[in-house]
Amino acid sequence: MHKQRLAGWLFLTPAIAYVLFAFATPIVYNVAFSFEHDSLSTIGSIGAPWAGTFNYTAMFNDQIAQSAIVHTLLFTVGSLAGQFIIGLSLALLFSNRFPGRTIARSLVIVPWLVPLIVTGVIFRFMFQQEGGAVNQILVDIGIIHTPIDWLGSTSYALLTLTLANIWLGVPFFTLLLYSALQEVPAEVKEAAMIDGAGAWQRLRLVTIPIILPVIEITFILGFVFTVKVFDLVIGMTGGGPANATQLISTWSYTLGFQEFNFGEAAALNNVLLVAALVCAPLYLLLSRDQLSRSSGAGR
Amino acid sequence: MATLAFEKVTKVFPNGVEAVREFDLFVDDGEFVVLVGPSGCGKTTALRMVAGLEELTSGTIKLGGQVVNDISARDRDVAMVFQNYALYPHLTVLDNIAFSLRVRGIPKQERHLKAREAAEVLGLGEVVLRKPPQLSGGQRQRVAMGRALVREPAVFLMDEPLSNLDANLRVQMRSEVLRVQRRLGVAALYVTHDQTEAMTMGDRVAVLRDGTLQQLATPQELYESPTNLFVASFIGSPPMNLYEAEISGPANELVLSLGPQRLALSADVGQRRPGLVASTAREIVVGIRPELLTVTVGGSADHGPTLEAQVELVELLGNESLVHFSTDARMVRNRAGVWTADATTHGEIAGAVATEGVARVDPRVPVAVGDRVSLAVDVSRLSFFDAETGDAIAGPSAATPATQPPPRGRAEEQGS
Repeated sequence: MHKQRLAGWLFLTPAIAYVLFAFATPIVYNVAFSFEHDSLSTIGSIGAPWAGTFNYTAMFNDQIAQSAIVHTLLFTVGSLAGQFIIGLSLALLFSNRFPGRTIARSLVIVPWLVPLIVTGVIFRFMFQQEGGAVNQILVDIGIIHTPIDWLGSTSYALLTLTLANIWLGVPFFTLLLYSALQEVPAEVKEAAMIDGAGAWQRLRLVTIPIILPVIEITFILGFVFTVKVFDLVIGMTGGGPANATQLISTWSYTLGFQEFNFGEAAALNNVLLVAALVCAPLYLLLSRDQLSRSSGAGR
Repeated sequence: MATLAFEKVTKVFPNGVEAVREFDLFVDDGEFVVLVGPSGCGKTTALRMVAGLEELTSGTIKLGGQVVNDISARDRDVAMVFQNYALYPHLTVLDNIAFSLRVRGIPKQERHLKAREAAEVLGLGEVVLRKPPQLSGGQRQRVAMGRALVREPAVFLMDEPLSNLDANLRVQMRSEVLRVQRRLGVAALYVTHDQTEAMTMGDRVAVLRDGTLQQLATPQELYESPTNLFVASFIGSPPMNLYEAEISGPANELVLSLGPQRLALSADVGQRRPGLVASTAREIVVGIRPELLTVTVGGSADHGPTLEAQVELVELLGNESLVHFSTDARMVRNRAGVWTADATTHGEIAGAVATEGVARVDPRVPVAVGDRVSLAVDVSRLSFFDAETGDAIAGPSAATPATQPPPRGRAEEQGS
């Protein structure tokens, strides 16, 4: 018995060592920085002066940091909502047979193949006020009369950024939801049809509740991916105009590596850390729940 | 409540498979009709066409006299029990049963009241708040029927609903299914591959093979006068013994030759089957149900025509014994060893010498493996088939046309 436990720990040791080195160390550093007065001269060594909650107070009084938190929230919620609706629609579409389905299904993952920074640049071109493809099309089909300054106006830039990110996240939602839909037995949907349910009722009352565990997990993973988006913003807006698209990730980067205000940057970053700490246990709980649900349903 | 009618229904799948061909069937209000056949015979496809889950290639399906070909499944007002029950895994028993009421916008309280009532009828009162994964097979089966019970459907469809249950439960659930159908009082179509289920449950039974209706009759008629070799071999357990034979002699003294063995037929056999006389000197197939054979004890008494055989195996079942014997008559079967033996589609019938047969006998008669026995044959109840076409030779009743109004079944006698 004792030997077995020892063997178990031995097997776990490499994994634990890796996690400690690659994950725990940066987190500990980040937390430490947020309570210190760090400058370029002290950043390399241990033992900068203790700052207490100074960095947090500074961060919460920083207008740009405040708006970055709000932007991140709007960006994340908007992205996830858009990704879910489009992703589920595509997943439902691909669950039907139609000519060219296989090709269309593989094309969905194209956004993944493009480096994020390239995506950012492409979207910047597409959303240019003069000569951008989006304005050209919208004007041509008569939805708008004058070109919109998608990236240059403070009222549109965050929306444009969110649209780009939705496009990026759709493959993830589509693939996960599509595979979940394959698990819904055809007979159950037929039974609902015979019970008199229309297409919308079948979706709302049968299909979605059955794939709900996957939806929940997709949202949590999607949240974790979205809340830390960085390169897309750098490629498209660089946080501008007038900090209108400054997110937690980009603003803490600017604070840390351009203004060398390491303390406040770390404090702002810890907002993300807290969000991740909430999500991780939730994810574990839900995925375990889903496991027990699916094994319980086995006949 | 409505009648159900198939009229010349054909279904060809996109891959060219013809699942159902020119199928005619009429199911009256309150009648329980079983579609039976081996797997792949088109019975499930036929059922799904009634439900609106498959489109017809040609022909019409009528519910209550109205053509429903172009009416969608959700508007057809049928209830269906699926083979795997198809329960909603995320809903409680109560909500599963009440689902059809929910989509019709019936308030929660009212629909739960009705669902609870149905659950009580089915003995699910204790488990109404459980979800399907927490139920036993039999309970899931009952929930599936509860979904039908809570509605007032035009027809009640069942697709092998008992095949996932263990043997004991299956027997018990048969009567349960019939009870639900009586209560609904509607036309019921029940699909199964199990001929015992078909025989015990159906007011009438339709035997299908390769998408074609072989015979539609009451279970008794099906058993006693199968229209062809396929029905003869498919219905009955153990199956009918089928042997190659030849008829000879004048009309009132017909003699049946099974290989080297001779069976004298009594005069009435020929009289009741004029076709037999016409078949003299031609190859035919004779069918002997296992219970028509009796092991004779002692050689003195006159047992009538007998078949000489050697006992190969004795299965004691308590109330009866199944004596497997070998005889030098040539048994009929198709090449794959499956009991189909239809000469027209499977080429000529392959015969083999010294094949087996089964007799269902009184367990008190002492027989042991290796015994040479004389089996008395009740020649008045033999079945005869044309060896070439597989059709019954001038059976007492020609096949009942499917669209003809059916005899009133058991459901009516119950006075529901």
